[in-house]
Amino acid sequence: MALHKARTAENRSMQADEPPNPKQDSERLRSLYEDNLHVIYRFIYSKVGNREEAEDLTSQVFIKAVRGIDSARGSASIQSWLFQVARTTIADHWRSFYQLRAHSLDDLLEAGWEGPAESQPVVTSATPQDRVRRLLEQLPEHYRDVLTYRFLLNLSIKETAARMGLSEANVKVLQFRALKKAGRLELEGVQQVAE
Amino acid sequence: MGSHDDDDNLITPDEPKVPSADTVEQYLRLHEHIEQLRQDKRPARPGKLTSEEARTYQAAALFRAATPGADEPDPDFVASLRARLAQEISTPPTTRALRVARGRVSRRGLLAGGIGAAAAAAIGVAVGSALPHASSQTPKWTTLINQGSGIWQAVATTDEIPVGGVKRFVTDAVVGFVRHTSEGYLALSGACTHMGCLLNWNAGARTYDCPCHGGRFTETGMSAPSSAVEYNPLPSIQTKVEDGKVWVYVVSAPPSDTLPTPGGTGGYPTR
Repeated sequence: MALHKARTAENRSMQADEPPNPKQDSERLRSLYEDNLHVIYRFIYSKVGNREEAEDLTSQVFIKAVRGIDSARGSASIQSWLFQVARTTIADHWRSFYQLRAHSLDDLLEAGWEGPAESQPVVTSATPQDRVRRLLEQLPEHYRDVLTYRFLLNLSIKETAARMGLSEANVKVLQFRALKKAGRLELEGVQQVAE
Repeated sequence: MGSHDDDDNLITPDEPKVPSADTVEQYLRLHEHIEQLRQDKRPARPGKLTSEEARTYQAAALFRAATPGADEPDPDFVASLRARLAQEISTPPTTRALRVARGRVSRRGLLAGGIGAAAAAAIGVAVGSALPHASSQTPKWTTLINQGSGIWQAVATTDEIPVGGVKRFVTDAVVGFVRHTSEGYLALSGACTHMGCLLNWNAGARTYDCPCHGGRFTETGMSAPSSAVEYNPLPSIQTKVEDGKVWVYVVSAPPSDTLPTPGGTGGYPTR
């Protein structure tokens, strides 16, 4: 495997206490995905909510990352840099998916995004499950119920309607309002963190 | 974002509120979206949304991710992405830099699917001189590995594929198809040049069909007229016949745990 001396030197500037190693460059790339594939996939999944898009976007992120590894120099950690790549990839995707203007994306991106990515490694301790639990606690009871049945228990509209004693049409209305409210609470959470 | 919360007029079981017409549309649209998420399918575009609506959809994605087991990556996906990346990093840095530079020029194209072409290319095929259609339709990818940096692998015996037959093969880093024609054995990459999904041989139509986004390729590897979108042709793979076997020239993908030397990982743990 060919390796450029210049690249090795660059690597050393990032990992100063390490002796030059001809395998280092590709090894660095290898650890990049071995260590982060699952965590990035889950992060992306929490943003798109389905496997097909999560797989596409995860592939895009890692291919970009592997090709652009040199631009990771100066980042606090490979992982925070990788999350940055994931963020821009998701932002590009959303721009077309939701047809939003760029500035509207900022709030969306901040949700579940803990800590300034440039200055410190990304904290990924808040799983979707944690965030959802936190949101559920803040929601009125029937909102909490409809979201619990629909998502945490993965029940159909019909099953949810039966359990809640509502019509199916009402369940659809209720889940809409519950998610709308949850979306607002997420935004408020982000704004509080930012203050 | 508005400060008042009109949604606090909640629907309750005893007093269902009659929603206005356009909001019914909103409920149904979100409902369709949620159903697609529950099937783990790429949802249809919801159309132009306000940022508040987009947040509602985001909340749906978040809650979907909290469905037990939903955000666990598919092992097949993990394995195939690993193989692609292993392939990618075993290409010489110069080639890589070249592709990065090219990617920068057409970022839009990259997102629209160009990256998929590169990803499929990354699945590691030695594109020999044998790209029959290269002159008429210049592919976006270039030579993937230098001649001499791959290995020959036997993927079939000569007598197992009749003339006109197609056999799928899998090596450590490459999935492809070998075809027995009157001119001999020819091989193609088996990854769609759109997003890198693995193609299926459709013996009836004699096409390679992509299960993901409707891509279709003719048996020679060109984008088929019935393809959803015209994609770049499938990279061809060098073949040879020796010892009664069909061999393909591919990049080897050593398992990650056999590669690193101790101490060479610079603080990033290896597995």
